[in-house]
Amino acid sequence: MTDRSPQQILKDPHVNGSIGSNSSRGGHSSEENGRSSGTPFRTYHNAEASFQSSPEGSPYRIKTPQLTPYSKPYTDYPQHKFHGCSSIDDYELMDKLGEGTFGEVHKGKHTKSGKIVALKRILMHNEKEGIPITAIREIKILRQLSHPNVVSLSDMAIEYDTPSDTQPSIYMVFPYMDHDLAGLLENPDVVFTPPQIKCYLKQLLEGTFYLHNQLILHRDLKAANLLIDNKGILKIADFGLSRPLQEKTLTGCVVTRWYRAPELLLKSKRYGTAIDMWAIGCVFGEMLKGKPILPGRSDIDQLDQIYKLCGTPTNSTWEGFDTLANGMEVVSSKYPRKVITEFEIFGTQAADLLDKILVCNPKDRLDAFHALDHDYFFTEPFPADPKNLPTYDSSHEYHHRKPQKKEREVANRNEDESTRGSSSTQDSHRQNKKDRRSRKRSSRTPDTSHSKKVRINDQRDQPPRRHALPEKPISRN
Amino acid sequence: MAANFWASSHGKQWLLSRQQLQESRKEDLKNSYRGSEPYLVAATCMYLACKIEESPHHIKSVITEMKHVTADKGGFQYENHKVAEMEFYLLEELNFNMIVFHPYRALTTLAQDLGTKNEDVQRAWFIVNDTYKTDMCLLYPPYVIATAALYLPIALKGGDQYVDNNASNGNSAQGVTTRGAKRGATSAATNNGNNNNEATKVKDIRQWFALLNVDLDQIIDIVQEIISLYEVWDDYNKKPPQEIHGILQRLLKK
Repeated sequence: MTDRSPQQILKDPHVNGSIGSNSSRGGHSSEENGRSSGTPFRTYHNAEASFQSSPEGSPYRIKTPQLTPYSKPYTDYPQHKFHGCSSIDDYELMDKLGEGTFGEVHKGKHTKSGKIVALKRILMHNEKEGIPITAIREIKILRQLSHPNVVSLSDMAIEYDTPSDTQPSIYMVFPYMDHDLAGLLENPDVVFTPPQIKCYLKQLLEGTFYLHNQLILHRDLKAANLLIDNKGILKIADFGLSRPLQEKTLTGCVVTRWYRAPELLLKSKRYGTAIDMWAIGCVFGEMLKGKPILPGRSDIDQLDQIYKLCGTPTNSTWEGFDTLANGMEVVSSKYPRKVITEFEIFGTQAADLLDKILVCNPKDRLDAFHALDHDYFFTEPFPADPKNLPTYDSSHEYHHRKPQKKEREVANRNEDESTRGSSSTQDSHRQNKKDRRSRKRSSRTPDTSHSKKVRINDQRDQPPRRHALPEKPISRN
Repeated sequence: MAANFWASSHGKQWLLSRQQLQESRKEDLKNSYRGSEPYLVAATCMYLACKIEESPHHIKSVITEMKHVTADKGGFQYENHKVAEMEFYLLEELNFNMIVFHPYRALTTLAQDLGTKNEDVQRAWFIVNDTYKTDMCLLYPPYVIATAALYLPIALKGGDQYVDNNASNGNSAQGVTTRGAKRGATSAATNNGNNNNEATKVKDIRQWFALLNVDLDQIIDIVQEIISLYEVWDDYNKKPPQEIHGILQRLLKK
């Protein structure tokens, strides 16, 4: 019966009722295969196969509503729905993993399953307006995404009895990841091999390709937001600044400074996926060199550093470049481009790929798809298999920063004590140790000791991020 | 939204069987909706939905609007922090599942593919609006609702464009009309008038529905439910107000 044309089938009275149950099943499976299909009915035109089984009866017969449960083809989903949100009591809070403008991240344990998780507390900036739209955006985007290289939101938890706040706190629950890339890069015991770098970069690009394909801008890609587990899997995390790609003007106050693309620094309000690619270029360079490649001290300095590396753009290399820099103090000196010479020691392919990503003009910058297609990934040494990568003790950027803070406190105390003339030898020994360590770290912390986490740090140039974020003034449409 | 419906939290969390729906009404809700102030819930829903769909409004303007709307129905005496608090409970109850697919996009795509007339699309659109007053959005995937909504005006009207009913399929339109609304009956009569000249188009519309990769049983269920809804509405208007009042009182006492 399969080779009949639909017309023939329609004429045959016995086949009339055949468009029933198994067609919907076919629809689902083919639907799940489609990567980015937003329309669940995309496959409606190929129902040919579903004509095979043919129960009797007209397809248009009217049935009385059944009270028996409707048999659904997707029974593998949990039966308990409408259960509401988990309570924080289901989790046991452990040590702190990080903190920043976005809130705090704690390590935790799901008491029932024993699973180790990361709990991210949503910070209430403006309690009058309820839950911030950025948090809603983040949850919505995370719920929407499903990719091995994008962090998954496993649960939401609520804490009612908070000591200080009047409002309950909301936690987002993620699977626990052992490291973040910034932590690994700072860890002196960890040295990346070229296949390892290729492996991480490939996963990063695959995740980004997926995001961009889903029309999501991450807007805060940086080493500290790339989580890596001991199975060698890299996941993109922290969607606190991300949003759906739209034809609207967006705020320029995004991305940590060292990873900001030139068009953002030039205050362009219309940018696209290319800003994420620039950040990936910076992360890639950071992995190669072992330290951030463009550690600007202010927005002007950041731009200057970019021009020093990538050459000063002109109107011929970047159409409309002159008009972009409105109000911005234009760096006058003309630098030549030297990405390739700078990174040649890491291999010609690596230098070539970076040269194509770190392009000032967003239109000429490589996108994730073409970056994945670059020869870099197809020349020896090939990207490592994540399974074969070495495992490390947990390294988080926050933990690498923490001792420093303590040291600062110690230093302060020492000063106090020394004014009182009672500095012990033990303290001075610690002081020396601290000096040595901070000298090693000074390569990563150019500004002040805490500058790394402050995203839009330069308050003189820009308003703090939190106020700048709701980019669309609230209006009635 | 670009994500796959069946992989979304809507597909996984918000589609229920009738039994599940009844159970959840009974017990599963942490905060029973009978215990909450409907105006407050409504205002909060509006406020939250605007936020979720990326067109936020100030909490103050939502409240002002709500006060205006409810001025002659008892008023709205809640302030900012109450709405903010309610928003929190609402999100908790939803378990932060905020992705919802609507039948509208499916409807326009389907209508385009079929080449439906604008007025029929419009009517189907109204029907989709009406389905939100029922449980249907929790029971069926949105694109099936869209298909059913599109089927109804075409079948009822049996209009000149897609018409029909020479042969065996006469029962499609008639089946609906006999059980359903009165306007169907009149349209069935007109159908018979222009049978012959449009016979070739018949296959198109029938074939089109036949080739849809959806469960026709589901469509039939939805169509039936929509018709029942309209019957109930019709009755409601005819019943004396005292009777309605009595029913509501009984509900409240429970």
